[in-house]
Amino acid sequence: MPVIALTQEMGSLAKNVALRLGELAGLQVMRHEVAENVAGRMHVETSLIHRLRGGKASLRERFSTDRQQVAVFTAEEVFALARGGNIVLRGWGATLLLRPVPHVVCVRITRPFEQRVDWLMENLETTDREAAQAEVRRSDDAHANRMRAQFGVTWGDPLLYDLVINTERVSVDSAASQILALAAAPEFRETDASHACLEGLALSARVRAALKADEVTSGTNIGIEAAGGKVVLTGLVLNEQERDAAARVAGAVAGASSVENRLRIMAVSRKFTHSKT
Amino acid sequence: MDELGALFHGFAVVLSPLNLGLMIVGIVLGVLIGVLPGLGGANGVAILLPLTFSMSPTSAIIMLSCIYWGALFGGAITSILFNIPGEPWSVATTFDGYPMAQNGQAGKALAAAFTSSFVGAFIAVVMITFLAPLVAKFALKFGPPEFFAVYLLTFCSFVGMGKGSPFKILASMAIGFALAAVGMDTVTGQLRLTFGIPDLMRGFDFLIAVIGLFGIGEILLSMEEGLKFSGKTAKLNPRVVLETWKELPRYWVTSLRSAAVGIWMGVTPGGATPASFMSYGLAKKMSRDGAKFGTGQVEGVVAPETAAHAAGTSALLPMLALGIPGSPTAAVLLGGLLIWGLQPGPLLFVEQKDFVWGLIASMYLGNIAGLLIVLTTVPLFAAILRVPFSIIAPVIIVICAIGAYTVHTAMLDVWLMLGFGVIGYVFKKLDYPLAPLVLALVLGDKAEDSFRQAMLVSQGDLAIMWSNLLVGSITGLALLLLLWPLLSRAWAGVRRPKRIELNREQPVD
Repeated sequence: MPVIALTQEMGSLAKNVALRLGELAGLQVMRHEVAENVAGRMHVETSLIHRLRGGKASLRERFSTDRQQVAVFTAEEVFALARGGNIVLRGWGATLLLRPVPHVVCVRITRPFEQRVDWLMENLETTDREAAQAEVRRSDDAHANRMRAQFGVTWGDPLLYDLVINTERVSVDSAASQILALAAAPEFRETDASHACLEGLALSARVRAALKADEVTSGTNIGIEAAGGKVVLTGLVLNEQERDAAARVAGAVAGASSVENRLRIMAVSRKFTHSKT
Repeated sequence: MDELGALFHGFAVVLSPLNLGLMIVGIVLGVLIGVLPGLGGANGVAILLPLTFSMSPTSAIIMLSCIYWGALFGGAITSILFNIPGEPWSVATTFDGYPMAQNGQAGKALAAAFTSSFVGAFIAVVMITFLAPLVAKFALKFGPPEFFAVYLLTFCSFVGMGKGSPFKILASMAIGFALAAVGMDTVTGQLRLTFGIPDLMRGFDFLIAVIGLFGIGEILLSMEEGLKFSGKTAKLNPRVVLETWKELPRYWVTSLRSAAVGIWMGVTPGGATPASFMSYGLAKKMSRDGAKFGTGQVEGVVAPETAAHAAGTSALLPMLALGIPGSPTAAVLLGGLLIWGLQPGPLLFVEQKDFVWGLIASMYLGNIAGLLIVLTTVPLFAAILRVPFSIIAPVIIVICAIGAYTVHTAMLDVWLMLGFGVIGYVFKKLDYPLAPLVLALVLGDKAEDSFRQAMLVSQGDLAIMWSNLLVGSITGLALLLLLWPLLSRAWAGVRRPKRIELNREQPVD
């Protein structure tokens, strides 16, 4: 049940590679589920999520949308899909989110800028080269900014991936067979340990999403580690109410068998007669 | 660039052997004050003020301000090593400092705390160097109504910016005004509120109040808590310090942001403690590692320490340029000015250049000296704290009593100090802020004087407070701040209430 994570770069033919992989190995291919589910959880239109990803959202939309919320719900969806296995995931930060899982193959598919512009012009049936160039640049900038903000990495750094394929000369078929060959290699074999790792990450993503969705804990920013159904909460919260709510919400998440609450409270630990210098 | 020339002149003043020696003595005493429970910046400086009576004003202010820097540095030591904040503004340092010590990184945490304290102070001093002369020059145009408006702004900003109940702040301030009114009326020479007791003719000296409220009150609070220092040991070797210094430039954004928060909260009477909490909260919110805060992040030590030191330093700006103290320690320094025979206010920059620029230069050098001293002497101070509190507390009470006695060499002052100590304890138990009381006590008669002068000028017409754009806008701002608690409550009624960013239980003054 291989899980393959691809990058999403406008005009890079990653979509064709994903579809081909699906055909060759009988894998599911992710389509728009993530955007729909995230939009559903946030009670916004699906198109808003797409606009935010493509860098096309208006200034007001960008300010009024909680990006952290988008990121947290996205991560939950990606892990949920990866847990199911037998799937090709494309974009949504899947390559970075699933990078710690040993059996997930993380692939970047790229192509020279001019060819991507050509692809877009063909796709949009336009002859306005400058507009197409601007469109590709805007999409790249939006992706690069989001990767930096969310994961603190430089988008496109080859060290982030197991395999980088340039489709300038490599055909879609060859790319797909290369990826499948790598997925069958012993280092990507699925083991109990690798599954446990994925389960742990998925559980912590679910806990994080649940905390984000709960009214009391939506503003907290805490460390969540999960392994074998055991959730450990670390970090700082504002008050006891938040601490207890965080533990309660985490305990109610499906798959969390026990919660260890190591949260500390941001409180004044001593009484002072003065607080001014 | 007149300021730079004047500043170098100031360095020349400070760099005499006597002043350098006093600077080092001041820093060491200050760190001791900072680590000991019951002694803080304000009462520490107040107790040691009599030591300086025989010195020249410049040497005296250098020593006292260095005690203050030392106290600011010292608070971090107990926070990181013992998880017990030595000073209220180092409470936020315990959040990440103590976990770092638990992870065996005590040296790194201390080095980061001291260095970022230094950075915060340095940024604030640069601000003071260039801003204070400008503010003073501007303030030279002030007449009595303007000064009263600025006093009013100071009082009202306590109400508007203070945390906790505005009524408690007002009550505390009103008690301060009442105490300030005791004694002889400076305009008519009548006796007020003395009830025929000759000793009350002198009025209540705020130094006694500061020593009692902050010193004895805090000892009482600490006794109740049963303070016990047990924690990590510190080893600070040069290698750890250098490694930490290499890492710190990574947090430059956090440093700058925290320094800005600190300077703002210091110049307006927000204070160092809210500044440290606020910048810690902002750093947690804006950092990519926000989720890891509280588990031992260097950034979580950098943010509060930078802000606290920046606030502590910039609190001296209104004291220097306008003669209006924004914090109790600044008030004590201001009291010192009067004792040394200097008239605080904007004229200082014209008439006492040596004094003012010596002080500003000593802010630079004192902080460098402070950084070096704390980095080298941490184990010593940590060792002092292992002495049981039952031995430390009586010693501190005796020191406070001696300090109170020497102000006027009057035994009554010692009893008053004890009385103020009880008031301080009760106030804190009931969550009343003390700083408004102290500042009302200090500024009460000054504000009254300038108000009555203004009334004499205008023949009793209150409209003088709006007579020109300057005084009108200051008065308007003051009234806005006074009504701010009501306005914000009304606003919250209209809009959805905002999430509380910080803990409700944070100190109220």
